[in-house]
Amino acid sequence: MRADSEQVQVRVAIVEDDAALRSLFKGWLKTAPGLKLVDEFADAETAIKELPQHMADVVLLDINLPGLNGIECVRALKPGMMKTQFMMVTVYSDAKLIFEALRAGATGYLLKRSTREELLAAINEIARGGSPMSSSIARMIAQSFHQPPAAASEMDKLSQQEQKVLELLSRGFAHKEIAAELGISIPTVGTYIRRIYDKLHVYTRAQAIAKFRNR
Amino acid sequence: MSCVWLWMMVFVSAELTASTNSSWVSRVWQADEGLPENTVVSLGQTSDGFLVAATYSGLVRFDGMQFMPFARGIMSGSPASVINAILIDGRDRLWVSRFKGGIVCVDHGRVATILSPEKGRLYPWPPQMLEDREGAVWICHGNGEVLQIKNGRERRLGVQDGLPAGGYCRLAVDGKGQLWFAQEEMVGVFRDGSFHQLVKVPVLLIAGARSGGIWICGINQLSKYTEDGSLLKITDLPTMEAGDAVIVLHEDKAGVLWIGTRFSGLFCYDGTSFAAVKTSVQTIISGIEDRDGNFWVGTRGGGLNQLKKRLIGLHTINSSMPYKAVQSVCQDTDGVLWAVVWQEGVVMRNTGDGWKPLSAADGWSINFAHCVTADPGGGVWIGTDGKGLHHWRNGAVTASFSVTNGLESWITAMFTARSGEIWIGSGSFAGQKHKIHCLKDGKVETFELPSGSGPVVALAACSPGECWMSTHAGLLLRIHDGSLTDETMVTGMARCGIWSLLATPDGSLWIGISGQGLGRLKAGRFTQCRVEQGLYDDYISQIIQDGNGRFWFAGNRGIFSVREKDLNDFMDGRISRVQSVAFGQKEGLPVLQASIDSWPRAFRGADGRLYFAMQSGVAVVNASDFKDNQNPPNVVIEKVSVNGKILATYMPDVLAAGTNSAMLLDLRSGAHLRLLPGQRQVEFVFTAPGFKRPESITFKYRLKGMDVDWIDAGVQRMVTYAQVPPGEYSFQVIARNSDGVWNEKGVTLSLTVEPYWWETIWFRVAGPLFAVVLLLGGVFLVLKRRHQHQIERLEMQQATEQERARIAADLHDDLGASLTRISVLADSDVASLQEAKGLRGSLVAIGTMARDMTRAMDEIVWAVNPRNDTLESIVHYLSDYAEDFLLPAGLRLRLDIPLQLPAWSLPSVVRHNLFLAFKEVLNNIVKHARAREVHVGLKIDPLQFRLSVCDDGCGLPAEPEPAATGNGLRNMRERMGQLGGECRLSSMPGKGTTVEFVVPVSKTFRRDSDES
Repeated sequence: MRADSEQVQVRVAIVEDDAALRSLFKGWLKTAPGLKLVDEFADAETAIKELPQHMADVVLLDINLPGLNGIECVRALKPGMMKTQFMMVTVYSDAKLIFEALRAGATGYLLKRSTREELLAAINEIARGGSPMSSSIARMIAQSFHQPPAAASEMDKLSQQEQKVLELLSRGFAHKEIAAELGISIPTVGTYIRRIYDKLHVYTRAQAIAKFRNR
Repeated sequence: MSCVWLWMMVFVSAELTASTNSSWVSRVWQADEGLPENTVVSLGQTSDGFLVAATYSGLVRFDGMQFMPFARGIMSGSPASVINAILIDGRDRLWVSRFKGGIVCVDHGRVATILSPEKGRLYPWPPQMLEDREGAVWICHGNGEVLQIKNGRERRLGVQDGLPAGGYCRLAVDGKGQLWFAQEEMVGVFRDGSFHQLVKVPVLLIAGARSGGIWICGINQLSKYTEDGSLLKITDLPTMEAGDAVIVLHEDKAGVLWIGTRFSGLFCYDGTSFAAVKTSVQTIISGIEDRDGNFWVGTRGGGLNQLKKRLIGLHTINSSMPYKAVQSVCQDTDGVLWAVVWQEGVVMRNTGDGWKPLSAADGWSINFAHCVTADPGGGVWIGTDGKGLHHWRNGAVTASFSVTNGLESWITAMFTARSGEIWIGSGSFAGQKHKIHCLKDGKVETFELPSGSGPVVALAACSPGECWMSTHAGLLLRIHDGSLTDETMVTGMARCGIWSLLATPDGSLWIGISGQGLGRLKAGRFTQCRVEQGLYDDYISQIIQDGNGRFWFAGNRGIFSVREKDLNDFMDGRISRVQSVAFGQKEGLPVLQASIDSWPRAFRGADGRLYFAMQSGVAVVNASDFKDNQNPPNVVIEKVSVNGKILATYMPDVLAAGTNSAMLLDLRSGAHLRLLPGQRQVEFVFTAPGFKRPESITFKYRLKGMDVDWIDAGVQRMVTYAQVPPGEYSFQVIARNSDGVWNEKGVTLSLTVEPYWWETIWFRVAGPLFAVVLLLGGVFLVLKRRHQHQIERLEMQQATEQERARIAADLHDDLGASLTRISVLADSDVASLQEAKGLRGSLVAIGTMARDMTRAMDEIVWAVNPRNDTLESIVHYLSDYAEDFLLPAGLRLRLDIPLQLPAWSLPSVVRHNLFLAFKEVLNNIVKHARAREVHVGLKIDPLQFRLSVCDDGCGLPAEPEPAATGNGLRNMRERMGQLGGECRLSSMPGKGTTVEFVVPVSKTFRRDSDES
């Protein structure tokens, strides 16, 4: 662990309007090995302007921001920051909101009430290429891919393996159960999930373009 | 009976003493006939022809038959404001002056004050009001003021305008339209805006002369002045009482000058001399000539008088009542009138100076005369009762015929034919033998009548050798080609009393039948006309032609006349009615009844007059004075009543205060009448103002739209339609004057009878459709109301949702954020306080508690937030909850949920209860079931969904369940019950438990929550 943290510094940025909470998270991150807080923002507008200069690996993004919300912030930033992972932080586990954020380009999410360990683990996981996905999010993504847009290319469609992972997730399978079921490692499940998110993102954009064209 | 006698005596004596010689007769209307009272202060005539009379008791209009109130409102006010003069101008404006002063002009219901009562002064005589040819109205007031109102502008004229100073101006318009004035012994004209004085002459009153110039009434002298400067004394005025004055001076269309005096009655001047004209009373106070040329006077106390040329006179044999009846009349070639006095057998002779009996001094001593007829060669034939037939001429009986010549001694009827033949009916004393003789050139040809025929009653002959006769027994006999035939059956009537016969040159035989009117036998065809067809009387005892195209008849009801053409047209079937003109009492004569006891009884004299033997003398008709009225009558609809209520009248009395007259429709202005549904009995009253034999004006009407043809109303002036169905109509009336001149245009009133709504064609046609529409409308309304309810409910729901959203937001933003901070804070301090173990434990507890609270809050917020009111949302929430709850507990979760879910809306209460029940089940599983895997399934049915939670645990024990479990189950059941659903539980010991929640979804909640 230590070697890892010395070798790889995960650059983390925070967008959070609650100043108290922001400083607490800052405190957690400062003391966390392998993580480096590179910047913090109180609102989406400033973040959209300044974040691209900071090359953060992971951005903790509050969904419920004053002015532009977190989802709109991701939508604006993600196309220019493909390597950066956006992790939505929310007070309540509102599947719909989270799904919207995922469609907009986020690749992870976390409840604010999570403990310090949970938070740090989630950041590490997303930095390593893994992503969380609850059964309900999996369902919604599956639904989403059921209505393919005309503009979607073959590449953007989910592979069979990805589809399988998505289906198992939506049926309540835990990651380790999926790994067992498909004969793959647990981190690979996370990688599949990440790919699914990426395709969802592309897919969503394609849908938006199609919608725009068909208007 | 005595009453009648008394009345007749008074009437007739009054009549005869003053006017038997007069060629004028006055017809009088008084209060008895509908005049408000008997003083007529002023007269006028409207453009429609109504005569307007002003009395102290108000105005009336008169159509010749009936008086109707006119502008009653004028009389409202103090009784002292009685009218003393009126003028109706060419535009039908009514100008009214009152004794107390003040003149108003009533212009079609609008009253304008011309002179206010305050300004007006008391003068002993009323103002003169007159209209000139240019339509200007002139008012000569008692103070000498002259007012001209022209085109709505008033001009006051006086000395500065050429009038003499002082005195009282009188104006007149002559036949050429020139306006004249007379004032203070000065006479002149009005020209170019001012008066020009022409001649000084004593003058009391002037009147325009038809030929131009003026008539001047001076003191006891009548003069005429023309503009060329000649002043002609015409004659002395009739002698008048002291203090008397000429009030009325007028020259009528026929050139007769009328002079009405204050005390001495009415006089007429025909160009040679004055004649007194009898009027009801001697005090003449107003006069007018109507458009037909009749002259009218208003009197003080004697009502309204119409002056007419006398048409019928009565020559009585004796000078006092009772007058003797005459049974036979004739006129000899010398023009001497002969008459036989009824029952006395006396022959009367009138050579122009009254009736004198033919006596022994005249060489006549047989006092049993029955009939007289003229001998074409001079002298008269006198038939006697039992004494044979005698010819009398120049003071001696020149020839006699009796049984020795084949005659019977009783001569019943005689007739002098145009051919010169004398036809004589004779009979025996016993009445067994009856004969008819033809006397020509001194020779007698005799025909015996059939036995039982009775004596000859009437005779007629046209061509030589031919004779028609009727007998007492009702036979109609004919002598033709030397033989006698019985033609009774030609008439189709068995033995009627045939009272009179007339053969006309066209070959017709006219037959007067007792009680059955007039018959015509022409070319073997018999036709009949009776009272129902317009004949004045069904009892005709004399028939003669006047040589001017009219038949004259005498009967029980007097003398009447019918145009020959009308009668022939009627008999030929060309018209359905004849028009009779009747004479009698209206002519100022006593009751006229014709005699029937002898023959001849009537003849046309050499002077063209007609003579009839009457029961009161000899009636003489100046038939040549009978002029046909060429003016078609003006027809007006007087009144329309509906269901007995007056709806519209001609000239509603708009001025009448306190009446509903103003509400009435005016029939003058081509009104359209709209009758409401149910107004079906419609009565029309119509009239034709006219004063020449108004009772003989006949009408035809039709209700176009209902009547196919014109309906002959006769002299009736009213019709009632009992049932007028809804529709559009026009009521038309046309009228014919007494002389057959039609007003074919008549008058038309359009009316609409509105249908009840169920009577409309629209309804009948569209009724069923309407019913359907109504039904649909009703359904629509119900639906709309339901929809309204729904909308209201939805609005309320929306309001609740908004409230819920706000609550959710508040919880989330404030409480949630704080709790989060607490939990995070507790966590961070745990890291920095490694050493203080007690404090650390507390902090961990605080953090856990705060997290639990946030989770609880999370649930509440989720449940409250309306955004989550969908099936999709609850599925997500439940599955995420199960994931979060079961996985940390080491249980496997399997979800079997359809990928696509219906867009059902689940209200908060459903979600909340379902979630709590679901939570309870999971709780039970984790706590008691000892299961390894939990299967959550969702099944969608048409109106419900089923959420099942199935575990592979130990199942429920068979024996009564522990209290805790029981409570949990009861809770779940209650919760499901609240949702109208149910909770099914199945369990096998050792084989796990299945709980199934069945949740019905009402229609309301199946709306698409995303769209709404």
